[in-house]
Order: sequence, then structure tokens, then C-alpha cells
Amino acid sequence: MSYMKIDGVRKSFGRYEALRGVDIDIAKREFVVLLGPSGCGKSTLLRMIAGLEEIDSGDLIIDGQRMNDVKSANRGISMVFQSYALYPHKTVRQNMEFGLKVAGLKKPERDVKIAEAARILQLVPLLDRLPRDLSGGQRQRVAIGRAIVREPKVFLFDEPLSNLDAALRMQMRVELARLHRELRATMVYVTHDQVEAMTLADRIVVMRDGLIEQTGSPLEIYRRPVNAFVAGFIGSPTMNLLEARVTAVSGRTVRVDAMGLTTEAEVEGPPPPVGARVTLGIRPEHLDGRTDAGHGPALDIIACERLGGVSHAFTRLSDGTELTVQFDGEQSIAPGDTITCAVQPGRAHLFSAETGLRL
Amino acid sequence: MADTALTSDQSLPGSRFQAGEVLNRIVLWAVFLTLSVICVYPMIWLFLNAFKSTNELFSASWALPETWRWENFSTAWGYGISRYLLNSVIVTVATVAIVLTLSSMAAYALVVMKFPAKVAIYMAILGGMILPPEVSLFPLFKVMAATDLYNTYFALILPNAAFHLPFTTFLIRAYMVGIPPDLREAALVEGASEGLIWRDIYLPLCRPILASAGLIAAMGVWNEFIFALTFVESDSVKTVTIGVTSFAVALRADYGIMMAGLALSILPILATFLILQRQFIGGLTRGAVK
Ligand SMILES: Nc1ncnc2c1ncn2[C@@H]1O[C@H](COP(=O)(O)OP(=O)(O)O)[C@@H](O)[C@H]1O
Ligand SMILES: [Mg+2]
Repeated sequence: MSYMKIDGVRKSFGRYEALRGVDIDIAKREFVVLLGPSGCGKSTLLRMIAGLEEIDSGDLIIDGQRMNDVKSANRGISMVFQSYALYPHKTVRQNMEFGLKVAGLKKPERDVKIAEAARILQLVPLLDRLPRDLSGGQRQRVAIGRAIVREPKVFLFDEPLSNLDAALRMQMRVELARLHRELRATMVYVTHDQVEAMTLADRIVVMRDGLIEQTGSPLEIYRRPVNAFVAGFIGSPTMNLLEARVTAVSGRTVRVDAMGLTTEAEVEGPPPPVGARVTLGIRPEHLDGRTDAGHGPALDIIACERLGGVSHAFTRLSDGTELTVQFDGEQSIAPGDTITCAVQPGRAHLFSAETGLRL
Repeated sequence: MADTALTSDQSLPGSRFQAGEVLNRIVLWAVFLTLSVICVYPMIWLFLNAFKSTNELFSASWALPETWRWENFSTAWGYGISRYLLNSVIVTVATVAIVLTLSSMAAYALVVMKFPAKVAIYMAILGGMILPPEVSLFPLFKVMAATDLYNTYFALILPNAAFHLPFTTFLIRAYMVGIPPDLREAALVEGASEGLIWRDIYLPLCRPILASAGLIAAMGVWNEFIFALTFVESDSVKTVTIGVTSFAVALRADYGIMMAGLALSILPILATFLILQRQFIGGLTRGAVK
């Protein structure tokens, strides 16, 4: 049962098509993340949902009502901006109060709602401060508080964490997840950060160039990316995408070779013929790296990233192809070392070399 | 001397920097001092001579007064300058209020709203800055006569407001461009109308520029002469710029009292300026909100 429906939505700025037909169904209480590289049209879509940008064609339906021509204020949405957009001359309390005043709520009602939001977001001691006297994280919470007090049907977030430092971002991510559980609200969240998407979303919508590439739960998208673009966008470090050649086919099982790295993968569609070129996708965490020879092709380590629990080795095959391999943090590796690696069985993805689509 | 300075400079770059700095300071101070003397001296001269008798004024116009004749001011006040001052205050305050309201509305629309021919409209508004008031004197006079506005406060307020609108709009627009558009969008999502956003968000954020632009307009209107000379005739509506001239005629030769009257005539606007000067400079130099 869809609560919010985006149906064939398009948008052009002059001759530039920012959105080229987008369909999304969002269930009540769902946390949907629009994920994609910068410029793919995420913000534009969000602003169209908010009513800040006109919808050229297609329908926007929220809770059974077509919203295309409904004023922003009457759509039952709240939006949190990347810049927070706090009114600089108003205190935290006044910032949260503004929308309630506009909606015509009486003072006692407003106070109750503000107190509740302030409690949830730990803003109580800050209520009489001006935004300029707050830290980045506090401003962020005020912006969320301002969205909460209006009790909207749908929350919209446009890259709300991108102005925070890494530690704070992690903390706010957890807080947003908690908030979603606590408010049981429908949320649409825009980001270009796949970690945010993976950790927050019930469902991720991966976008590119004004089109949806894939929609699915974080794990679905991680496990079964529909094309090489999605495969490369989800996961950190990014998936290795190698040129490979089909060496054997039996039923749906295809054997491929990429510069000595060999593996087998099941394909869903008709298998490619022997000798065909394909793109082999393997996540760094699905490569077994060894420091002794004989497990596969030799790889020269050019750089290492030690995260403690795991290490990432950025390596090069003999033909210069780059390959990232994840190691256990205990393993001692260093730039200049030569390693070998093998693909964990059943973990390879095959994509068409021409279209990038999953085979 | 110059040589040693030069050689020591090379070994000690810090000292050359200092010497340059000092020279810089001296030049700056000299320039500023000259400028302020040129600007401020006539004012000081006026205020000093306002305390003198006519004889003293002519015999020692540069000296301090022998006795401080405060009574010059009360005499001047008694000659009707109080009424002129009141008229000036009314005309100035009303004009500035109208100008700031309309200009900030126009600027808001020009900055945030989408409508056809926006650039052309803005250009037309700016074009108003080029038009000298004198050329419109005759047509305006005809309009005043035809509409019974002649010899009322409106005869001064309306044309003054009209001629200050373009520049004020220009100033406020430039300031509003620096206000993040997100603020308006956030308010729109919260249900605010454009009018409310203008009043409750843009105006408070524009306070520095409103103070500056208001002051510029106020000084212009206070010292305005041609409209005041042409569009009103009764003492009950005459502003102080015209008032002091008729006052000079009435006093004929009592220059001390005349100086006191002149001093009184500039005092209100001078005081306003001194009180607001901080905001004034702030509005013209500071960018909008961070
Ligand atoms: N108001 C606008 N006028 C013209 N082009 C725009 C406008 N807003 C967005 N665009 C263009 O549309 C594309 C998508 O923008 P946006 O939705 O902001 O991307 P993002 O996914 O990074 O949020 C970009 O190429 C951008 O340049
Ligand atoms: Mg964006």
C-alpha cells in the first residue's frame, strides 16, 4: 500500500533534463534514501515533492491526494535543508515556533509541541540561543526540531549531514535512525554518501542522470546490483570492476578469467558465449589475499589503508589493472609487497561489457 | 642615511616593513586629517558663530565667542523655526518610511520572485536614478495644482519619496541578494506567505542596510530645497531649508541669531547621523547574514 507515489515525474531546466521519468512508491513509515552522485537530480526531486519546484509532468500523490498543484504549505511535509536554513535572527524556540504560528496554533499548544521536540532532541538548554551561538551539530538538531514540531506526514531531508565532521555525522546518523523509530514517520532522505544510505534506509533508490537505476533494500542492492554503476556506487571501498573473458560455460555457470584471476559465477539470463568480454565485479571484502605465492595472479601493493579491524590493500596486476583487496587487520602487509589473491566462491558479479547490465 | 637604511633593509626585512608601515600611517593620517578639516570645519565655524553677536562675528569670526550667547538660540526658536523643524521632521520621517517600505518590497520581489521582464523592470527602476528632479518640476507642479496637493505635506513627501526610491531599492536589493534563499524556502514550506517572509525574515535581516539607506534618504530629504521651494508656500508646511531663508530675510542683519537658526536647522539630522553612524557603516560594508 503506497503512501506516497511518484509517478513518471519529469523536470527540465531550459533544455537540460534534470529528471527523465521517475517512479517511486513509498510506504507509510518507510525510510527511503535517494542516493546518487552529485548532479543526478536528487535535490530536484526532493524539491518537487516539497513544492519548491514545479512538476513538469507526472504525478505526485501523498496519502491519496494529488499534490502537483497544492501549495508547499498544504502538502503535509517538513523539509530539513543542507544549510539548515535556520532563521538567523530568531532564537531556537522562535525558529521552531514560526511554522506553528503560521499554522495558527495558540501559544499553549505551541509551547507543548516545542517542549516535546526539545526533549526528544535534547535542545532544552538551548531554546533561548540564537543559531550563531550553536555548534554545527546543535544547529542540525534545531533544523530537525523545526521539522518535527509540525508533525508532517512526510519528512524530507536534503543531505542534512554533509556539513558535519565525521564523528558528528556518525552520531547524527544514529540519532536520525532513532528518531525514525520513535516518530514512526515517513522519511525521504537525499544523500550522495552510500554509507548513510546503507545505514539509514529501509529502501534505497539509486539514481543517475535523472533516472532511477535500482530500488531495493540496502542488502538487496549490495548483494545484487542490477548494473555496474550501482555495483560501483554501493560499498566501501568500491567494488573492483575488471575486464574479463569467458573461458567456459556450463548451464548458467560461467567461468571467467581476468589477467589470471579466475572465478565462476551464476548468471540469471542467457549465458554469454565462450570467449566473450564481460565485466567482472568483485568486492574487496570478497577477495582472499595471501602473502604466499600460488593462489592466483601476483599483485603489487601500491598503498595500504589500515582501519584496525581490517586493512585495504590497493594493488596492481601485471597489466596495470588496479584491484583493491581487503585483509584482516592482523595480517602484516606493506606497500611494495607482492601478494596473491583468489575470489571467494559465489561472490563474483558479471555485467555486460557493453551495457553494464547484470548478466 | 638612505643608503644605510637600504643596506640594513636587506639584512633585516622586518625593519623595512616597519618603515613602510610608518610612512603609510603618516600619509593616511594626513589625508584623513585634511578631509575631516574640510568637512567638519564649516560646521564648527557655524556652531561657534551661533553664539556671537553680529559685531563680534564680523570682527573675530575665527575666534571663540567672548561670551556664549545661548539666548541666540531661544531668539531664533522664537522666530518660528520650531514650526519649520516640525514640518521637516514630518516630511522626512514620512518620506523615509514610505521609501523604505516600498523599496524593500520591490527589492524583495526583484531578488526572490520569478516574473517576466524582471531585468527590464529593475533597469527601469535604476533609470530613475539618472533623472534629475529639476526636469520634473514643471509637470509635477501641474499635477499638484490639479490634485489639490499643492501646499500640503504630500506635495513634499510624494516627490521626495519618488526620487529616493531607485537608489534605496538598489542598495537594499544588493543586500538582499546575500540572504540565503533557503531561508525563504524553509519558510514557504512552513506555510508562510511572501508578505510574511518579507516582514518577518527579510526585514529583520536587512536592518543594517535599512538604517544606512534610511539615513541617506533622510539626509537628502532634510536638505532638499527645490521641491520645498516650489510645491509649498505657507509657513505651516514649509520645511526648515526654506524656513531659514525667509528667517534670514526677517532678521536682515542679525547674523548671530541667523547662525543659531541655521545650527538648529541641521542639528536634528546631525544627531540622527551620529546616533546611527555605526549601523550606517555596518550596512554599507558588511555582507548579509552568514
Ligand atoms: N534551478 C535550476 N536551474 C537550472 N539547472 C538546475 C537547477 N536546479 C538544478 N539544476 C540542474 O539539475 C541537475 C540536478 O541538480 P540537483 O537535483 O541539485 O542534483 P543533486 O543530485 O546533486 O542534488 C544539475 O545538473 C543541476 O545543475
Ligand atoms: Mg543536491
